[in-house]
Amino acid sequence: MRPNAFGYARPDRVEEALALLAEHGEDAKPLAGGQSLVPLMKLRVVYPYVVVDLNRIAGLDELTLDDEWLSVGALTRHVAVQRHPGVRAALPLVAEAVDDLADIQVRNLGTVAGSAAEADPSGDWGPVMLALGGEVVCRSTTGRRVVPIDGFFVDYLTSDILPTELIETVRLRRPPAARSGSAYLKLERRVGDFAVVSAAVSISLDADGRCADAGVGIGGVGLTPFKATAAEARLRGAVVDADVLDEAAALIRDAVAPLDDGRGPAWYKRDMAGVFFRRAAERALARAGTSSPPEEERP
Amino acid sequence: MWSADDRVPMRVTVNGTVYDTAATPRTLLVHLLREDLDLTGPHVGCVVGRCGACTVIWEGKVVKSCMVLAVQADGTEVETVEGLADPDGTLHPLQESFWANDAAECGYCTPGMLMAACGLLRENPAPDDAAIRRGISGNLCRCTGYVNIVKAIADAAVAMADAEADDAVVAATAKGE
Repeated sequence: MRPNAFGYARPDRVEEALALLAEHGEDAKPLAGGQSLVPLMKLRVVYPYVVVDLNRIAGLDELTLDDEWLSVGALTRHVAVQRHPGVRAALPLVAEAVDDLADIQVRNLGTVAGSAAEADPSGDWGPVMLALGGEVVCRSTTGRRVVPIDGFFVDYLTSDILPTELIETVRLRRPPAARSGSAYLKLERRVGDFAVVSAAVSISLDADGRCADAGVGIGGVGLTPFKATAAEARLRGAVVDADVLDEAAALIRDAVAPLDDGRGPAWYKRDMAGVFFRRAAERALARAGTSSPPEEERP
Repeated sequence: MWSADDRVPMRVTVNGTVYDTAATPRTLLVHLLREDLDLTGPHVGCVVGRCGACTVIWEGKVVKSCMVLAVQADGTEVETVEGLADPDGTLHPLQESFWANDAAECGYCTPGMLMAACGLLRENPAPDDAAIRRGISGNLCRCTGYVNIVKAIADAAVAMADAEADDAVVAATAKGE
């Protein structure tokens, strides 16, 4: 109901924050949006001895979209990404994921970096990050570590970040502007819930209409957000028609290891992972500027 | 750095009134408001930050005050449901509309609903039904089924737009336009 008793630091420089994390290590937790940390503390699942409040540190809320990257800082709030018109146009899967993320209260305070560090397999950012690819820059008093997104989600609610580190930047790779499309679709029981399953798909086509590149991230299907590398490989080089999508969906169903839990049984999530991948991929293809593959009877 | 037992001095402005107070680091903003400042409008409904009964407007943003540490609010402005009505008691159009539309039954979610609606209408003065439902999706109601709440917000939006239009006419008339 109420958090444990803890010491509180409110540095106004990032170097101070890092020094505190270096000093206290696992005994400390950084506080950004608090939309995961505070509820976990109230449930006494997490009980840091020290909380390092980052919110008075200036300059941590960058949000940059250039030709190659979408970059966010440690304090970039979900809502800022949602409202960025360039992001919605260039990276619909990002805007759609944030549209579906929790509610306005959480989006106003919660941060992209915080979601990434929390590494919830059913969170909205994980699949999007895996679909686009990129890197997470982790900073400590000893320097910076650049972690590829592919290797960032390590285990259940465990990212690669160390207790002595802060995320400095999350950098997502932007697909080429022409002939690219993306989409994020989420199966949820109530609006804003963590996903039962979700699918983030980014597709780029070459001039002949073949898939030049594909990124597929699936949520809700295991201990971490899932990168569907086999499905991606099936898409690459192919003219993506209904058969190819079916095969890619089957590869996803074969590869995932969802859990039975309150959000649904494993068999259902497995099935729905394939369904939602297919729907997201169709939408991404349509946005990439080609006609959708012939609509077959949906499962 | 403050230790767990320290009462961290803080100044917070709530509904326009400046409070000089102090809070231990573990004190949540909702508890500061309710227990230290006697503003029992924001309600505590769940442990996990899902119900939204604690919703306030913090530095212009709709937030759940049970997910904010009180000490984070040092030097900032908070608006609670107690601040919606005018000092002379004139109800805010949202309050009038909730009343006229029977949008409250037990009333437990109502303060949070009103503040979420207030924040929504500031961002989007003419929301359609879908936008209203999205705007209150962080606020759970166990009684009403939401229908009257959504209608109340829609009606309030119209009333507030009309009032703004009337104000503009008055102002223009006064300037002799």
